[in-house]
Amino acid sequence: MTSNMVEDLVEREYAFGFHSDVDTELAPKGLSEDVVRLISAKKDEPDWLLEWRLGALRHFLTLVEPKWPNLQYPPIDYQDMHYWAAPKPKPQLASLDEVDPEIRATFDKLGISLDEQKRLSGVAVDAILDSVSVATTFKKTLAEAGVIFCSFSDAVREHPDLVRKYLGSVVGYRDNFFAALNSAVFSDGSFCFIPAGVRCPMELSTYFRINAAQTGQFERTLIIAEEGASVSYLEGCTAPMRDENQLHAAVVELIALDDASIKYSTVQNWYPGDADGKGGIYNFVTKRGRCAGARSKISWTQVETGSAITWKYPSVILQGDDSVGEFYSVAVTTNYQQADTGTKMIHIGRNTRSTILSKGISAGHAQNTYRGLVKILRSATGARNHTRCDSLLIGADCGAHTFPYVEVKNDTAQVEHEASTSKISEDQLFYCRQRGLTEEDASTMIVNGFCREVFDELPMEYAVEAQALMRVSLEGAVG
Amino acid sequence: MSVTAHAPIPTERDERWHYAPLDEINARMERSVAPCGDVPTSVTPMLIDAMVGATGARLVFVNGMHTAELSDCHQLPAGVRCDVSNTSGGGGPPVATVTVDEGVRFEEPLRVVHVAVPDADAVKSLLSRARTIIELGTDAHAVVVETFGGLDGSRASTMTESSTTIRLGDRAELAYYRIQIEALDATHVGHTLIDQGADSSVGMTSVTLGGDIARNAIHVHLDGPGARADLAGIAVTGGHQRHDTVVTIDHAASRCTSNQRFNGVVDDHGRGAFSGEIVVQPGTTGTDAHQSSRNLVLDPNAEADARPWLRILADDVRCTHGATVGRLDDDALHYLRSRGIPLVAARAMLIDAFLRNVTDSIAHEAVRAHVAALVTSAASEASEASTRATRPAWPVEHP
Amino acid sequence: MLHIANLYASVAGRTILNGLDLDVPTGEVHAIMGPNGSGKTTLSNVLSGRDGYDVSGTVTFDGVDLVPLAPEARAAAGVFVAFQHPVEIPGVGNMYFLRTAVNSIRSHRGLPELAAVEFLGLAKEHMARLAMDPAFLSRSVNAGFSGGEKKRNEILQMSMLEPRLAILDETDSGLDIDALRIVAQGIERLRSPHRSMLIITHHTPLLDDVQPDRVHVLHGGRIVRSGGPELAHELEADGYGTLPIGVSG
Repeated sequence: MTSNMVEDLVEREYAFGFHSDVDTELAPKGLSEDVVRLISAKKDEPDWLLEWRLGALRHFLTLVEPKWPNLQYPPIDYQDMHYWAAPKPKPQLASLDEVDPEIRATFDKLGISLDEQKRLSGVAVDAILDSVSVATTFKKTLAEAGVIFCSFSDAVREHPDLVRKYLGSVVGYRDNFFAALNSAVFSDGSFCFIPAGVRCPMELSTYFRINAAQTGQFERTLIIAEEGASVSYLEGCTAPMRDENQLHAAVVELIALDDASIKYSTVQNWYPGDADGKGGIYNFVTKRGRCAGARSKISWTQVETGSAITWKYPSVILQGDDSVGEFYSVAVTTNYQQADTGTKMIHIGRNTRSTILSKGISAGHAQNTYRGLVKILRSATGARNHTRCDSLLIGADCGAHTFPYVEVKNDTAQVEHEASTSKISEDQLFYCRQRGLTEEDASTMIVNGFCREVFDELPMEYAVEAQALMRVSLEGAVG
Repeated sequence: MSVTAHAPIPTERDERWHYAPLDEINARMERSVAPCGDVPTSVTPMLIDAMVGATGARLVFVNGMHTAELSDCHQLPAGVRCDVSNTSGGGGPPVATVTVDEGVRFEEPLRVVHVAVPDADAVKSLLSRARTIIELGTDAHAVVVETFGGLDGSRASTMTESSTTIRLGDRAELAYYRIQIEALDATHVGHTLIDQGADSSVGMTSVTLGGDIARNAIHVHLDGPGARADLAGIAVTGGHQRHDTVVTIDHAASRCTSNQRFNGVVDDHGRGAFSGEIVVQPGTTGTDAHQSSRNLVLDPNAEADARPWLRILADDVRCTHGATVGRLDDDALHYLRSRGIPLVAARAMLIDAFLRNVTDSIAHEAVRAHVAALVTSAASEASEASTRATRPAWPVEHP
Repeated sequence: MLHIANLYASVAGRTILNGLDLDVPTGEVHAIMGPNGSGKTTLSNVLSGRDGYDVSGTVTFDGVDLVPLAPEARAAAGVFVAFQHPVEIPGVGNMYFLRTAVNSIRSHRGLPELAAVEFLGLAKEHMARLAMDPAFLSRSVNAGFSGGEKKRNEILQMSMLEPRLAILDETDSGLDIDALRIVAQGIERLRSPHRSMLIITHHTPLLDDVQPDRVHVLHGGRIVRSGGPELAHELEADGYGTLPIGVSG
């Protein structure tokens, strides 16, 4: 990498770093039973949910933050942040036309129009600003198909039995430190229910935006696909540029019953901090799906370009016989970003199959870690896994790490893991340049090619967006 | 004498001990007693011959004590020495030292043999500490076979805690074989540290067959530019054995290459684990590092674990790793049987073939034959155990 | 010698052999021809005792019921199958493999095992007849062999194991003219009044060199037509399409 390219890298811009002047209601800083009660009261929650939150809080207070991730960051003071921030006044919308114009403008700037007629692509959006759902589009169209797609708060009010049945059934609050924290203080999120036999008529999408300062963001997403149902779901995330670090600790639970299929795609572009590693989002996310039914399928696709710190392992519990789990990931870290991400595939049912494809790109002073577990339990006769993890290094000061665990307790299982780490091929670069491409164009092209198999798993329009995002993320870093 | 590479057993959670039953090892360590007294009469020169499959230069230790009457280091050429020295301070165990001076090339295997023999009368297991230092000067060349053998105990068992330190001068070349064939009720905690000078080369083959709990940690420090390490290993894990192989290759200099090929077979209630880690340090260039872990699971009660890690902190690298866990190939098994080869023999042939790429690459012919015989016999035992356990698809009867 | 009656075989719930009847008397060479998907390879798999098929019906060899027997027991009884796609077994040396097979079968016949030197002499003799390089013996079983080498290796095994019934599954496929001639000569040499052969093929060239006593047409998992050697040429001229079949299912 030439020196002026390093300078370009330093000057790299985060395109979504603006801040919106939305009047915000904040809870006092700190974490306590009072704060949990306040959040629950603000949302007018039933008693069982408050008790569940308090159970999570009490459990959380017994835990210490995990130290095993390959991540370096100063201690987080969990008492020095707000656990509730909401745009004021709390929207109780009769129609989308009532969305606060400032919020509407915010999402327009992000390219997420809340006007249904402007959404040519037929994608329903749940827009979440600082943990509170501000608008959900296409609710009516979806309702006609029997699909419930709404904010988590609405779901608690309107479908309490479903929420109570499934909340915490995949990621219990005892699961890990950040899941416990989220369970205590989660503010909102998306809820999605596809009844038996229904193919969701459009892509569902949640757009997360952090706006308020010194505020943690804790959403909870719950997606249930009943027998034979299918859905494709996408989440996107951005945040303003701030010098401080902000905590984001979300939980996503997916449940697929017999013959159901859920495809969950993420384009994560939280603010990554500046070129010196100042600021940025700390992204500690627990995502897990349960293939509860026979022949069910859960597929995770993620393009991770943002956040100062990423800690997430979208996983699948393959419980139903013949169920399928997939994980496709591109994780790009530049400057001082750190990512420790991967997946867990837990094979329980017979003839369960899983595929893992991970592409890590590390540039600047970044550290990029793949961490994965493939576990074949005794009951998983005929289980199969194939894993491929490739890492690309750009520049001599970054790191790429691959930490897989393979545990096989069944003598009929077939598990294959392969991984490689290298820098961009000089031969490929030379070939492209000899054909007239600039070094940077050649590099971007090669990096995109390196990620192609993962982009191919994204819904079409997002694949284009992901490639564009890659180009922006790597601007100046490649070469 | 300088300090050996003794790595203490951790008392709390340590990622390098992820698959080792650490609590059990510590408990056994606490329950063991140090040996005292004479060499048991059961250990004869013939027993040692059988254990190492050859006669020739050797240093023999029984329960950690050097046994001169079983050793033979007299006819070595100038510049090649096998000695015993005491650790400084005198409190520690005696140290086997194998030294080859600068520029000396010696092609005959030098053997260090550690035999663990339980105390026939005692109920407590005996703890032996084995210490070996192998030092090759600049341009030196040697072949060293280190064998850990043992005898079954009537009531008590044995525990061996071993540490081998290998230092290679610039351009030195060492073929090192580590053969662990301890008793099936023994505990073995081994640590090998290899420190390599510029353009030096080590070819290490590790064979793990014995022990009830056995851990084999190998740490290679590629300290000089252009150093090369080729590591291969076999572990056959049956009964209720737990084998844990942990390899770390630390690329601390530029232009170093490393290659790892480890094959594991687990059957019965055995649990075999391989943890490999390639570390490439910042500032190095031209690194080429490869690792493969292949595992065969023969029994529904067995478990194979693999943890192939890469920790890369420089960009001019070509690193790969691969891990597979699977079973015997049905098509191959059918082919062999259709030619009249009985099921047990056919399975043994395939298990042996699975391990063959490691044994075949042993350069020294006598050592290769010895290791191949050990492995073939282990494959055959594994086949018998797993064939018994698995209901055959067809009744094996003849008209 | 080989008697098959009402043989059904299915795999994963799909029936492939559908009431097949066939008799091959001692000393005769029969050919089974049929289009792709007619069940030819399933027949050879079922006769060799391949796992994974649900089998019902009668298969006897010299009066012995083959169906419950393990593959090696069938081999010991004298049934040999030359496979269409011989599997590659890296790590198992050809010589070691062949000697173990020969000695396993010899011990079942009450013959003494061959010592290494005797075996090597015998193997070299057989290999010379098949124009095989002695270096074959030091390679792994079929590993990295060309298609022709694999087929020759099958014929080598057949000639050394001296079966009483040889089943050749598409042994001619993928061979060039020279290899085909060597393989055909190898088969012809093994022809004997004490040995029966079942040649499974969908081409006729091999049948020019190895003249069958009877030709059967397999379709839809059963024999739909049988005749003399002229039937093969009739099929060559007219193809399978003109056959009065329509009995599938």
